[in-house]
Amino acid sequence: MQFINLAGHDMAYKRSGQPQGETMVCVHGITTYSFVWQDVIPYFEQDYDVICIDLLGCGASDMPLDVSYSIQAHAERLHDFLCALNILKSHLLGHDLGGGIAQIFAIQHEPMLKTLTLINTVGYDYWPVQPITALRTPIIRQLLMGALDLGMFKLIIHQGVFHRHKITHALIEQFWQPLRTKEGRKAFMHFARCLDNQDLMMMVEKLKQLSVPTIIFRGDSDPFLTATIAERLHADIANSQLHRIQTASHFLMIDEPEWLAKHWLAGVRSQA
Amino acid sequence: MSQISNMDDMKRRIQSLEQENMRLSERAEDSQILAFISQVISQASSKDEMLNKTLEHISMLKNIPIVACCQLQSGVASIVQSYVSFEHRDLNQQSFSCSEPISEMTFWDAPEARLSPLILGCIPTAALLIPFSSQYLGLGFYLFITRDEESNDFEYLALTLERMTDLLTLSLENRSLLKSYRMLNEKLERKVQKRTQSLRDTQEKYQSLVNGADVSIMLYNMTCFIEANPAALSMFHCSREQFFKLSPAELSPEYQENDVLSKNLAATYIEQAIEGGHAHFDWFHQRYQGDIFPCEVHLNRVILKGQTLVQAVIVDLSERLQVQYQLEKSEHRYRSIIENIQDFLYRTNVDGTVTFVAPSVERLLGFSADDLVGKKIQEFYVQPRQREELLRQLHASSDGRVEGIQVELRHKQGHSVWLSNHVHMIYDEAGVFVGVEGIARDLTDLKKMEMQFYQAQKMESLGTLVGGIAHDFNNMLAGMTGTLYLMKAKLGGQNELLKRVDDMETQAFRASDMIKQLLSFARKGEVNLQKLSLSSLFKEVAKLLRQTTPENIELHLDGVDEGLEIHGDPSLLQQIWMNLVNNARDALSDTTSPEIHISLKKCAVDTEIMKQHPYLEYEAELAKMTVSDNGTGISKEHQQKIFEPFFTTKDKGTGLGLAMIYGAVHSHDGWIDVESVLGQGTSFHVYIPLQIEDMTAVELDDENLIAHGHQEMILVVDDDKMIRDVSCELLKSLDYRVIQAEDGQKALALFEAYKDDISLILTDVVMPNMGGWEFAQLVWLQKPDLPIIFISGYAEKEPMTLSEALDYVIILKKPCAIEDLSQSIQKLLGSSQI
Repeated sequence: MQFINLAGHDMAYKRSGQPQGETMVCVHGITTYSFVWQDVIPYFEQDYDVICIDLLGCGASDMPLDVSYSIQAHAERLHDFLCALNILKSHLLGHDLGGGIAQIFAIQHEPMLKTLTLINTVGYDYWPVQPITALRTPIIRQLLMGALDLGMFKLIIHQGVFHRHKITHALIEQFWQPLRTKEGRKAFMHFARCLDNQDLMMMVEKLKQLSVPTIIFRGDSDPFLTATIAERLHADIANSQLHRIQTASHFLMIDEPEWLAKHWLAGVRSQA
Repeated sequence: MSQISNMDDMKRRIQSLEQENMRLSERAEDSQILAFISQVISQASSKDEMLNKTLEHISMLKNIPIVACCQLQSGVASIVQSYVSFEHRDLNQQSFSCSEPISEMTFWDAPEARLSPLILGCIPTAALLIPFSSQYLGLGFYLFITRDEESNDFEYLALTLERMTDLLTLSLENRSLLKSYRMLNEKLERKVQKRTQSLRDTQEKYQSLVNGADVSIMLYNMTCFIEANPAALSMFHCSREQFFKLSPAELSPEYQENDVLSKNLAATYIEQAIEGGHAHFDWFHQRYQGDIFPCEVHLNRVILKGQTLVQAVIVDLSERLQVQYQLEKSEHRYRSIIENIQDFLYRTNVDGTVTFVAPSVERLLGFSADDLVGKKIQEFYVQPRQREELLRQLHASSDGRVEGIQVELRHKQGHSVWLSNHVHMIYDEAGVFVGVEGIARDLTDLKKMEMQFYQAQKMESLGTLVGGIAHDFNNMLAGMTGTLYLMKAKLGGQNELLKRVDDMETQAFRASDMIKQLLSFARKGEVNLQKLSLSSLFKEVAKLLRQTTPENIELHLDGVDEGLEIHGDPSLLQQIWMNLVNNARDALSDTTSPEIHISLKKCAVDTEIMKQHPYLEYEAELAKMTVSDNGTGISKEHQQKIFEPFFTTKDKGTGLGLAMIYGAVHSHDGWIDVESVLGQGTSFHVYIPLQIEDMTAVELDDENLIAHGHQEMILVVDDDKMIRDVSCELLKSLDYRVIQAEDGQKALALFEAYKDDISLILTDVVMPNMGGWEFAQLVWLQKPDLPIIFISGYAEKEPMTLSEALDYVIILKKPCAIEDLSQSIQKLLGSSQI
C-alpha cells in the first residue's frame, strides 16, 4: 500500500503491474475499498500499470470528517491524485459510487481518459437524492445498520455476491475491517450523509456528449441498483458498450472477474 | 380548473399517504432498532461499552449528531459518556451548569447558552433531555443535541428515544445488579469451593487413613455391612461384592471359645457398644474360605445422618501371636541357656583356701558362696589327686594357664559334679605366686549325654548283631516249619507221631516269636505304622490287663488323656504295655501290698527333655505312657543294662522283653526312661510323639485257607538247601510243578530254558552270586509281568515299596505260614491269568 498526501490528508492506493504499460485507475464504491478489485487485477497486471485507490474516509486513507465526501469532491480529489502521480491519460474504472465519481471525472476531464468503465454503477436519480433521504434509502439504510452489526453486514454481502462459495470468512473480514473502529464508522456515516444525486443529475445532459469509449458492465442479480441505470447510460453515452451477466450480483468483480477482464480487454482492444 | 384542483388534491393525498407510510415504516424500524440496541446491550462486555455503543447506535440510526449521558450532581451536569457523529472526538468529562431539576423529559430550544461551556463543535439548534435515576448512574439525564444540518424533529423522536434510553438505563441497572449478584455469587462459590475443597481434603485424609490402615475397619448398620476398608477385604480374603453380601455371623465360626454361640455373643457385644459407646474383646473370626483366626475387636458406636451404626476395628492377632509365641520360645531358650549356665568364678590362695567364689556356685554345688569362702577347695574334690594334677599342669605351663581340665567335685547333697576348669595363676605386685583363679563349668549333662551316646551306640551294635542272628534263625525256622508241615501231611493217621510233630511245630513257632522280639529290638521286624487313637488302644489294653493281672495285685488306671493320636503299630504297642506290666508283676512277687499304676498322659517337650533329646522341637506334643510298680526296684548298675537283649535278673526270663520294648519304642520315634529306687519300686515312661497327619487305613486280609494249584510251573530259588527242598516239596503237594536253583545266576539260566512254562517264581532275597531283586529285574526284562514272590528274612524297604507299586509282586516274611504262601501264589496266578 502506498500513500500520497493531498491537501493535508493521506490517500492510500495500491499500484501493481507494468509501470510502462497503460495506466488503469480503479475506484471503489461505498463501504468498500481497494481490496474489492483483488480478483480482477491479476488479469490486467501483465499488460497494464494498475492503480487501485482508497477514497478518502475509506480503507487505509485518512478519514477526516471536516471534508466533503460527495462524489463531486471525490472526483476532484481523483483529479488531484492523478496529477500528483503525473498520470495524464488512463483507463478509469468505477464501481458503485466509484462509477458516479468516474462519470463526473469523465465529464470534467475527458481528455485524461483512454476509456471509461462503469460497473454496477450509480447513476441519474435512481439512488439517494439528499442526505436525509439517503439515510432512508434501502441500500444506504442497510449499509448503515450493517456498519453497526456484523450479522446485518453479512446479509448485505450475501445479497451483493452471487456465488456463495466466494463468500469466505477472509472476504467478510476484508469488508468489515474499516467498520471495526468508531472512526471507520463515523467516516462511513459522513460518507453516506454527503451523498447527493444532484451531483449526477446536473450532468445528465453532459453524459450524452461524452465521446470517450465507455464500457458498461451490469451484474444482473444486483438487488441494490436497478438495471435501468446501466441501460440509460448505454443509451446516453454514444461510444459505449453494455455487457450484462446473470451470474453476478452487485460485486461483479468478485463474482465474475475472468468474464469481466475478458470483456474489458476485448472492449478496450476493439476501441483501439 | 377542477381537473387541476383534483390533481392537487390527489397529490396532497398521495403526499399525506407517503408521509404516513414513512412514519409507519419509521415506527416499524424503531422497533427493529430497539431490538438491535437490546442485542448490542446484551452483547456488550462492560457497562462502559454498553453505554458507549448504545449512544453511537442512537446517534447513527436516528441521525442525532450529539448524544451524551450526563450525571447531575449539585446543579452540575457531568458528561460520563458521549458520541459526536461529525467529529473524531467526544465530550466525555466535560460539564455544564444545570440548576433546574430535570425530573421529566425536557426540550431546550437554542440551547447554546445553557450548554456553555461545552465545546460542541457546532451551533446547537435544539436539545432533548431525558432524565434517569439509577443505582449505577445515580441521577442524571441523556442529552440529545441537534444542529442546523440535521434539523431533527425531537418532539417526534422523543418517545422512541425515551424507550431507547429506558432500555439502556434498565440494562445498566440490571448489569450493575447482575454484577453485584455475580460478585456475591462468586464470593459464595469461592466459599463453597473452599468448603468443598476442605471437605474433600478431610475426606481424602480420612480415606487415606482408613484405606491405608493395616487393621480392618468396617461399618455395620445392624442389618449388613455398609462400608469396609481394603484391609478388611484382605483380612477376610474376599472381594468387595462378596463382603457386602456377608452377615457378621458369616465372618465368625459358629462357636467361640467355651462353646458359646458366636451369634449370641456378638449380639451382646454390639448391644454393649450401642449402649456404652464402645466394646473391646478378643474374638475368633472366619475368613471367606473358612480359616479361623484370632482377633482383637473394638466396636464403636457411630451416628451418621441420624442413623446409629457400629464401627468395627479388627486387628488380626495371628501374626502377633505367632511372633509372641516365637518370642516366648526364644525367651524360653535363652532363659534355659542362662539358667543352665552353671559357670562360676572362684579364687583360692596358695594353700587352696577359697578367697572368693561367685554366687552361681550354689546352683552347681549346692553350697552357697559363704559356705565355701574360707574353706579349702581340696575338701570338695572327690578325687584330691585331680587338684594336685591341676596345680602340676599350671606350674608346668608356660603362661601359667590351663584350660578345659576336668575335675569331679562333691555336691552338698553327696553326689559328684563334673566341672571343666579354666584356671590361671595369680601373682601379687612383686610377682610372687599368690593363688589360683578359675572359671568352672558344669559338665554333668555333658557326661550324661556321653553316657547316653555310648549306651545308644552299644544298643545299636547289639541291634545289628541280633538282627543278623535272627535272620539266620528265621531261615532255619522256615525250613523246620515247612518240613514239619510235610511230615504232618505224610504221617496221615499215625496219631502218636503226629502229636510229636505238632509239639515240634509249636516249639518252632515259639522260637519264631522270640525271633520276632529280637527283630523288634533290632528294629528290623515288620512294623505296620498307621494312624491310631492311642487313648482308645490304651483303654482296650487296660481291660485285657485287668483280666490277666493276678487278683492280689492292685492295678490302678491313673488317668487317660483323650484324643491322643499317634502314628503307630497297634500290636507292637500292645506288646509294650503287656511286657511292661508283666515285668512289673514279676517285680511285685515279694511285695506286701503290690500295686501297679498305669497311665496315658499328654505332655510337651520341656527343657529337661530337650537336654536329653535336643533334636526335639520345644513344646512338641508327646504321649507319655507310664507303668509303675512298688516292687523291688532296679539297681543303678542294672538300669544301664536292662534294655540289652538276653539281660535278665529273672530265673525264667528270656531277657528279650525290655529289649523288644526298647526297639518297638524306637520304631515309633520315641524313647523309654526308667526311674527306679531299690526297695521302693520302678516306673517306666514311654514317650511317643503325637501325630496329626492322615494315614490310609491298613486293610487286613483274614483269608487263611490253603489254596491249591493246577500244575503251573514254579521256579524256587533259595541258597538254603533245606528251605529250598522243603519249599519244593510243599509246592508239589499243592499241585504245582517245581524247578529249583540255589542262587540268582543259576535261576536265570533255568529261566532262559523254561521261560515259556514258568508261571511264577518264588525267591529268597539275600543270596550269594546274585540276589533275588537283581534276578527279578533280569527276569522282568524278558517277561515283564511274571509274578514273583520274595521271601525275606526281614522286611526291607525297597521291596516293600516295589510290592506296593506292582500287582504281580508279593513279599513274604520268613518263616511264612503255608496258608499265606498258597494264598499269595493263587493271588498272583489269578491276576496274571486275567
